[in-house]
Amino acid sequence: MARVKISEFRAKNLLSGTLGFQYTGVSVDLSQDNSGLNLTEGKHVVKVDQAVKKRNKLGLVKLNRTPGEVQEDLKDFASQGYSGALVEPFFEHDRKDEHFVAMQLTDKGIELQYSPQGGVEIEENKDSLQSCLFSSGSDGSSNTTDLNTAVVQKLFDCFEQNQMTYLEINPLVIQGTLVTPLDAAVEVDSAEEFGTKDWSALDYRSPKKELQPAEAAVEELASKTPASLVLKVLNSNGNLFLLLSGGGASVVILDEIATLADKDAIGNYGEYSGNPNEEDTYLYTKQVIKLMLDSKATKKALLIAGGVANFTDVAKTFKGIIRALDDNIDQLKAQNIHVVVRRGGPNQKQGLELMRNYLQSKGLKSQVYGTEMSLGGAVKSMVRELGL
Amino acid sequence: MNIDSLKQKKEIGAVVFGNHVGIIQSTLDFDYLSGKKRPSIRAVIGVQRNYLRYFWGSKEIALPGHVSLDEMSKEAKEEVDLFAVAQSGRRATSACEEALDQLPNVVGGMVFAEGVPERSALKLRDLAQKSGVFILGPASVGFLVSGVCKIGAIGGTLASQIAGSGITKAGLTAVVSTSGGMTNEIINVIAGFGGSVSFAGAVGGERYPILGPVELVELAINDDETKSIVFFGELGGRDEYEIAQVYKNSGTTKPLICYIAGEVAESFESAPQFGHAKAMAQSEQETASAKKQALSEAGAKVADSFSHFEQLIKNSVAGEAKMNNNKIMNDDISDLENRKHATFVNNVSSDSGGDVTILGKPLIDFIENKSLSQVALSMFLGKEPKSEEFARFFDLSLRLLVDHGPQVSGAVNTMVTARAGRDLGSGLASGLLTIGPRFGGAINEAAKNWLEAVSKNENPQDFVERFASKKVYIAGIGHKKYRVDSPDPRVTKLLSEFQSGEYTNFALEVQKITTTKKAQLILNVDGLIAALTLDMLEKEEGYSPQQLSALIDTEFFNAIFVYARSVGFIAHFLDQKRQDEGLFRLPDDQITSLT
Repeated sequence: MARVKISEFRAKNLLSGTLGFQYTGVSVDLSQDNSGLNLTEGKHVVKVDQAVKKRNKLGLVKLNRTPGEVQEDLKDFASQGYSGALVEPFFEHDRKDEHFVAMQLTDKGIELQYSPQGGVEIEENKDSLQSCLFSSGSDGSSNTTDLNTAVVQKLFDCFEQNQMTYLEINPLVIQGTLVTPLDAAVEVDSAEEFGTKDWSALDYRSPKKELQPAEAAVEELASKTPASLVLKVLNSNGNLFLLLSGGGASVVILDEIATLADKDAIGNYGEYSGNPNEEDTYLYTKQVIKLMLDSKATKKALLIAGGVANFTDVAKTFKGIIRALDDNIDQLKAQNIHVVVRRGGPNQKQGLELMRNYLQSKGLKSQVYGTEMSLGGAVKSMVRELGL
Repeated sequence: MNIDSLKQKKEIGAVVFGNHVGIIQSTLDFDYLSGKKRPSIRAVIGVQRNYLRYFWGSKEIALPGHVSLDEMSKEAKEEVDLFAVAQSGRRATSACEEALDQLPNVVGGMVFAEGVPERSALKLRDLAQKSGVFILGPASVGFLVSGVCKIGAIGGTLASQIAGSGITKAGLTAVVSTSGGMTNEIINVIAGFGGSVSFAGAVGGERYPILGPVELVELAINDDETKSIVFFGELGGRDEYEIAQVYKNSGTTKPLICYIAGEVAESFESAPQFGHAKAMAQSEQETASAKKQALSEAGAKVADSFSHFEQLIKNSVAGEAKMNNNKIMNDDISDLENRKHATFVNNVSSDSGGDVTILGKPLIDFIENKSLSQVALSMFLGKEPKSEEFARFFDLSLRLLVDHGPQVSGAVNTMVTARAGRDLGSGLASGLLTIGPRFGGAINEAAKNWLEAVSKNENPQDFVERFASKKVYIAGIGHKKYRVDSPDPRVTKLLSEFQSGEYTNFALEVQKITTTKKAQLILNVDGLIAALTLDMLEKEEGYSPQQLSALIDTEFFNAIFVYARSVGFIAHFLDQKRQDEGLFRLPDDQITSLT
C-alpha cells in the first residue's frame, strides 16, 4: 500500500487550514443510526464519502436537500451498501466561478493542472486545461497558469505539508478573495503515516462497498503480521483457487492461467510472502480453502505455487497449509479437489516432501513439483488435468 | 552506471545497515564460494553489539558492529565499495544519506525495505544521481555481479541456492527485474538450461525506484561480458518505453528477452491491484500489452507467456549450455551445510593439542619480557596496550591497592574464614565476595559517572546536584578515614606521578564542590583510578567514548581492585594459618540489641 485515498471530509479539513475557509461539513457513519443528526436549517449537500469515482453519474451526490431529505438520502446510501457519507451546507454560487485544479506528485516534480472552466463538464473542456510543473525544490511562486499564484502557493503548501500524492478540486469556487473547494479528492502516501499528525489510517477510504468475509478476514490477519498477506475474490464460482507467493510470481501465474484457460476460471487472486509463520499461513489458507469449497463450479483445483523464494521458508509455510487442508480433508475429497504444487526456496526439499507425502496419504489427486518444473509448466499441468 | 571498477578490484568491501542474518550470511557464503580471500562485509551498522557472529565457510567469524558509520575508522571506510540497507522503510533514507556522506569510495548500494515514502525515494534518486552512486530499491532484493560481488538476498539466502545457480563464476546473461522473487526464479531458469548470469539486479516494485531498470539494461548493453539480456517487467509505469528506446538506439546485437507481467489485468473491467505497489496501469500506455508492443517494435524478443519466456531463454543460452555439457558446475558446499554456532566464543586463549596461545601468541612468547602486571593488563583488555605509560600506571595502581590493613571488611572475612579451618580458596572467596559498592567495587561505577558527565559536557555543579537531589552517593567520592586536611597518600602519589586529562580534571572539579559540603567528601582512590584509567585509555590507547563505555560494561575497571586485593586476602589467609589461633567467636559484648 503506498498511495491511498482519504475521505473528502479529512481532505477539506486539511484544505481549510491553508486556504483559510471555515469548514462545517459533518462526516456520517452509515452503519449507525443517524436520526439524531443535528443539522442546521437550510439546504444541504449529501454525498457518499468513500473514494467512489464518477459519484455524480452514479447518483451518489445530492444537492439542495432539506434536513428531512438528508435523512432519506443517508438511508438510501446505507441500503446500497455504503458505509460513509458527508453532509455539508449547500453553497450557492454562479457556475462561471467554478474552476478545476489538480496536483500530482510525479518523478519530475509536482504537476499542476488548472482550468477556468471547472465543474461536471471538465471532461468536455479538456482543451482548456493549463499545466505547470514545479520541479523539486521549487514552490508555488513559479506558477505559470492563470490561477492566482497566491492560491497556488496555498494549495502547494497543503499538498507538501500533508504528504499528498494527488489532489483534485472540482469545482473550486473562486468569488473574489473567497476560495471554496466544493468537491475534493486526495491521495496520500501511506508510508508517511508515522510522521504525520493531521491525518491517519482512520481517514483511508476504499470505494469497495463491502469486503467479502474472506477478504475482510485476511485484511484483519495482515494487519497483525509483518508478512504480506493479500486476498481478492475474483469469481466466487471459479474453478481455480490460488495460494500464491511473491508479488511478481503471483501475477505471472495469473497471466498463464488467463492465457491457457479463461480468466473467469480464476476464483481468487492473492499472495503470501515475507516469510509468514506457520500459524499465519494456516489461517490464510483456511480462507482460500473455504472460498474454494463454497464455489459452485464442478471442476475445482487448488494451485499452491510461487517462484524461488528469497526468505520464505517453504517447509514452515507448507506445514501451515497442510494443517488447513487437513481441517477440511473430507470435503476436499468429496468435492474431488485437485491440488497442484510448484515451489522453490529455503527448505524446499523438506517442504515438498511433506506436501507430497500428505497429499498421497490422503488420496487427493495431486502433482507436486519443485524448481525442476517451470512455473508455466505447472499451470499447464493443472489446466490440462482439470480439462478446462 | 558502471561496474568495471568493481570487477577490477581485488577485494570488494561492503557494509550492511541492520543485522539481517539472511542477507549477511548469504553474502559471506557467496564470497566464500567465489574463492575470495576475505569477507566483503566489513561491518554491520545500526546495531548496539560490538560484533556479530557469522560463518566464513565452516569457520565462525566476528563481524564488527557499529551504532553508526561514525564509529568506523577512516581507513575502513575507504575500503567500502557497496552498502546494503536492511533496516525499516523509515530508516532507509537516513542510512543511504549516511553511506553517501561518509563512504568516500562507495559506488553502489541497495535498499531492502518496502514502504519508503515516495518523496524520500525521489530525494534519494536525486542524491544518487548527483553523487554518481547507484542505489537499487526500495523493496529490492539487491544486485550481484557473478563471482565478484553480491549485496542483498539476490541469488538466494541458502548456500545450496548460491552454489546451485552458478553465480559464483563469471557468466554471459544479464538479468534485470522489477520483482525480487522473479529475479531468483529467472537466475534458476538460466542455470537450469545450462546458462550463466553475468550480473543481476532487482530494482524493486515500488512506484519510484531509485535506480530505474533502463539503467541496468543500458549497463548490460555496454558490459563486454554480457552477451544477452533478460528483462522481467510488470504493468504500471513507463520504464519499458525508455528501455525500448535505449535498446533500439544502441544498435546492439545482444538479444533482449522480455516478459511483462500483468496482461491479465486488462481482461477485468476494474482490475484489483495485483502484486507490487507499482503494478497498476493508470492509463492505456501503462498496460502490459502496450509495453510489450513497444518493446517488440524496438526489436526485443517479447514473450507471449511465461512458458514462451522460458523457451526464449533456453534458446538464448543454448550455445553456452552445449559448451558446459548442459550442466553448470555445482560448487562443493559440504562444509557450509549443518553449520552450528559454538557455545562459547573465547578470545583470550586457546589450547589445541597442548599448544596454548594467549591473545594469539604462543604462551612462552607472550609472557617473554612482560611483568605480571603487563600480562594481566593485556589479558584484561583483550589486547596488548600500546603505551608504556599506561602499563606503568596500571602497575602502580595494582601495587597501591594490594592491601589496606586488616580492619577492612574483606580482610576481616578472609581472616574469620581462615580461622574456621577452611581452605585457601574459601578464604580468598569470602574476602572477594565482600567487594561491592561500599568496599573496593566502586571503580567501575565511578568510571561510568565520569564518562557520562564528560561526554555530555556536564557542568560539575550540575553533576553534583544531580546526585544530591536524588540523595545518592557519588561513586569514587568520600572516605571513612581521609579528609581534605589528611589526604589519602595513594591519591597524592598517583596525582604526582601521572598527568591528569579531562576525566581526572572533571573528578577534581567535583571534589572541589563536594569538599565544601563535607571535608570527608574527597576524591577517593577508586574515583581517581577510574578517572586516570579513562584518561590513559583515551589519550594513550586511542579508545573512543563508545569503546570506553563498552569496557565499563565488561566491568574492566573493577578488575583492577579485585586483582590487586586478592594478593592482600591471600596474605591474610596465610598469616592466620601460620598463627593457628583456632575458631574465632565474636565476644558477647560486641553484639547488642536495640529492642
